[in-house]
Amino acid sequence: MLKEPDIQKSVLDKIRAGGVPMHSRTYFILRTVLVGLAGAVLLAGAFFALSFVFFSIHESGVRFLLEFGEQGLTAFITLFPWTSLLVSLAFLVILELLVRQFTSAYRFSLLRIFLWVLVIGVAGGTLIGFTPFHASLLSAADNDRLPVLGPLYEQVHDSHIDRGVYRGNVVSVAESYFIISHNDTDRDSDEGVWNVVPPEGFDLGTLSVGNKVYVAGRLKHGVVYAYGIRPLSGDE
Amino acid sequence: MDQELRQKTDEELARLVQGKNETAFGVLMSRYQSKLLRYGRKFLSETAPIEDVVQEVFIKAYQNIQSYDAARPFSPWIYRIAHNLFVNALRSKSRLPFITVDLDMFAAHTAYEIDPAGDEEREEMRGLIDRGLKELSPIYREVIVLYYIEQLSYQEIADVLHIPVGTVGIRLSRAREALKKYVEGT
Repeated sequence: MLKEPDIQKSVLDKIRAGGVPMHSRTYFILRTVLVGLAGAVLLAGAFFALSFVFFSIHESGVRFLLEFGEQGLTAFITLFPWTSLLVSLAFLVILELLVRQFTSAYRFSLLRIFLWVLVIGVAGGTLIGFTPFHASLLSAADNDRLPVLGPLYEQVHDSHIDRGVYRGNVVSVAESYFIISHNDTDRDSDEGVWNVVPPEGFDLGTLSVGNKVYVAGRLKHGVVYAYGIRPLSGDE
Repeated sequence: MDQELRQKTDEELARLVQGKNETAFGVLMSRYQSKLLRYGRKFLSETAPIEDVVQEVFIKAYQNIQSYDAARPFSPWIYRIAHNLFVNALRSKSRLPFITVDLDMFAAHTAYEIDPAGDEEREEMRGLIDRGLKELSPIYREVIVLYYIEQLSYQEIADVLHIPVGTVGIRLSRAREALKKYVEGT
């Protein structure tokens, strides 16, 4: 244990003996650059994951479930891309910690900083959503040209038949039901042909052979009893 | 030479240290040694040796002096280093969690008035501190030490602890209440 007056002498002795190297200014500049790069990577990751959430909901048709009442809402919650949302939030939380640690942002409340980071993240994610970025990746995934992110994008067009959600082309329209077929020739096993009984009040006259449809319903004895049907446009 | 250095401000000395002037660092150490020892003893609230930790504070300060912005006050900068090392010492000796969540930091506290303590209040608090400081949790103990004993301003404490100024006000107010409650109950 050092006595009080010894501290100063001991430190100076160590410095003079070369035992306490002073970090150069370049060291701190490099550290700042590295922290900045890490922040940029985190922000880009958050932008990507958040914009993928928007893209996925839009492209997969999951958003239509919100039009299908209570059952649709339950299916929406089940099929929402929570993992991507959590990943983007995790990126934003780490980014906030980084910002607080290495800038003067600690002068503001955690909530205010997080709201700022969130606003920037959502704005960036939304902007990317307006670009063909994800659509081109999806197209690459469909053509087996996206090695790492391929499975992530392929699931966007899954039918989720295990969750009672089907998408396909109308192949036949009968008096009280219609038949849809799905065959996207990808690696998953959501292909099939289903007889669909529409919900009460649905006008089967609005459907024609070749139409793309999004159907939510319960499968019973090989027949889908739909509680919601949404015709899809060509690019949906 | 030493006499000339002793007339310089902390910030001027720090700038000299950035130019590798070891004597200037010696003068800075002589200015902060007793303050940091007092801060450490009161904050860590124990009789265990604090001298080794304060020596580490000076070594870290010397190693990182190039990161100090001489346009800003020196005092919060070195107190920040001390705070980090004291917290590490506290964690190694107790079971203090690695990350502590302080809910006061989440909300905005801009509405809180900053009320500089008068001599009378400081005198009253010194009496309370002598009797009950050890009973406070480290988070409140530290803010009391920095404000009433080290006489740092709210802004300086915010810079040392890396928390918003409003949170400093709230912590101080809660620490004062806890201290009064403890002393009145004994």
